[in-house]
Amino acid sequence: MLSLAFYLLFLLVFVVFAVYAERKTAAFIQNRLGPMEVGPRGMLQTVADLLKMIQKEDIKADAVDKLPFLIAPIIVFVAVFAGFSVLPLNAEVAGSNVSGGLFLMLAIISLDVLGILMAGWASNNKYSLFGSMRSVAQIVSYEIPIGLSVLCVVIITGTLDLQKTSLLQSGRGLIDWNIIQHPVLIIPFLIFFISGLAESNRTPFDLPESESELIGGYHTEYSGFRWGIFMLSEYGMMLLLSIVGAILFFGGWNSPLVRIGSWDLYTMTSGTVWGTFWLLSKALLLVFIQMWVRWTLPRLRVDQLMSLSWKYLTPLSILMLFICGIWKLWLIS
Amino acid sequence: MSEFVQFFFFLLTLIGVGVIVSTKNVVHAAYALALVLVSLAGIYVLLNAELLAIVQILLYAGGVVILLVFGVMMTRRGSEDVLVSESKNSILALALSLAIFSLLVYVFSEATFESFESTITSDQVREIGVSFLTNHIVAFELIAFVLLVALVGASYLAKMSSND
Amino acid sequence: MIELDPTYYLYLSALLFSSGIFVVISKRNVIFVLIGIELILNSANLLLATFSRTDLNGQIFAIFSIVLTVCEVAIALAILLNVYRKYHSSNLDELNELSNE
Repeated sequence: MLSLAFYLLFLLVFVVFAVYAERKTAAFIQNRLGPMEVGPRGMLQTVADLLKMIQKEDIKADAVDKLPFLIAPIIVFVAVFAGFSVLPLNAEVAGSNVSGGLFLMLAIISLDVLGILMAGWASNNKYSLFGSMRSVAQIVSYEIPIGLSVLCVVIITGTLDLQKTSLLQSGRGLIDWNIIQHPVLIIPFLIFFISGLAESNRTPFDLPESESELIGGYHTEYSGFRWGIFMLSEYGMMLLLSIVGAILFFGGWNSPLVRIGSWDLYTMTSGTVWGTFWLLSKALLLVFIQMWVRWTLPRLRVDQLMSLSWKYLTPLSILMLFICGIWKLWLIS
Repeated sequence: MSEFVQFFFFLLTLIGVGVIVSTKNVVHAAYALALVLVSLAGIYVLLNAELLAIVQILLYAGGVVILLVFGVMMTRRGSEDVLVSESKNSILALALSLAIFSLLVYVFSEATFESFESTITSDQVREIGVSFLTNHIVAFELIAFVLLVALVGASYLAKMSSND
Repeated sequence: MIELDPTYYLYLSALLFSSGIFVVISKRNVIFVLIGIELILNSANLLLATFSRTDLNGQIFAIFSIVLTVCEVAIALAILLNVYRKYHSSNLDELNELSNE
């Protein structure tokens, strides 16, 4: 319960800084300066944007299906946020005590597709319907590589509980991380990262909400704060998958510093606050890489997107499942 | 506290079933079916059946409902409202379902439970996994085969033929 | 952890079953009938989960039932798509001929 409350507050603060960071990253990659006017070097730009968004008029068109139209953003946000309940914070604060924590998270995340379908259908609008059907097809297709790559890690660690996975990676710092102890996990991490980009509708997979082609995709008809809830859930999904990637592959809340001789840097940087700091900074580094990829790569066409999932990522992740099984058997013998 | 949670999930299920039975709009019925499936998953958690609840959310609410909504979207004529006409059989259907309901309630009211305590305490996911590969391995392999056949069959049936 | 009388779970299962039968018999749209079939299957799963208190076999059986239901719905929708392409209707009253001539 404590970790869920912390993650709610952290998510809300994170979105404010993430929007600013995204605009600055975009600017530096595109060789310009970004927001500079509002506040010192533009830092209060997101606050100004939030104030503007909250006071916008809540436009409800006449021909929409009332109740599904109003509920759809809430379903998307609740499905994404409920996935945060199984994440640990540090060595003392664990997530929810379910025996299949990781499996539960993947199941609950797949419920956001319902909200997107409701939004697209209730909007009574060609572009919304196209956008939402493409988005649903994309999210459902990329759930398979994500599940299989997570399964590769579960085969090697032997547990579905995220706190136990972090405990198995503690002791000696950097060399105890899953990706360094078991180098066969590098390709599953890449598959996980790419599928995570597709799950949160980020470029290069953001065809459903591409502003230049589909006006707004499934959130065309939404204005003001309801659109803000859709954006909040997109950043929430980015953060959730980054935290899960940090826990599964990069050591969770363990410190990366090693023991050099008798100078015990590892224990010096471990503890309650240190644990939370390490976990969140690894997750924020992955979020930064997601933003970096967004402004570097062009958008994929919808048939390239689907063929990437079904013809390349799924067979590759099945092959990696087999290889991780062999690695685990070799480790045991 | 536990009674309040049980009452809440029962209420959600009843609301969902009420919407499915009374609405004329197929899309609304599909959304109400999603509500019923998710609240049934909550009831399974209360019955200490954790893996069943997770599988229910993953496969039913995250799979079957999406299939049904796609089915609705692809099989409608133009822009007419998705109506159903139930004028013929509804009284007969109501009588029949009430008869079956009263029969089942009569049979269930005779049930006595001596002890309803759950004696499963361990790691359910691990035990079910082990049991799939030891006690129920034949059923497990057959289910995998059925899934493969269903996947190939459905994608063959639904593909557009070249002269359509 | 249960303070509720366990027969209420059985009553809920009976309610789901009879609403499923009502929906299957009285609705004319094919998707509606599939929704009714889902309700019937869920009532059986609820019954299995209620009685699986001392061992896990009920749960395992319910998981197999869910997987088979998913296969059945997928194939039913594929058949429906084919039928719709020929008859341009998904109303059961209008699908009453064996061939399209």
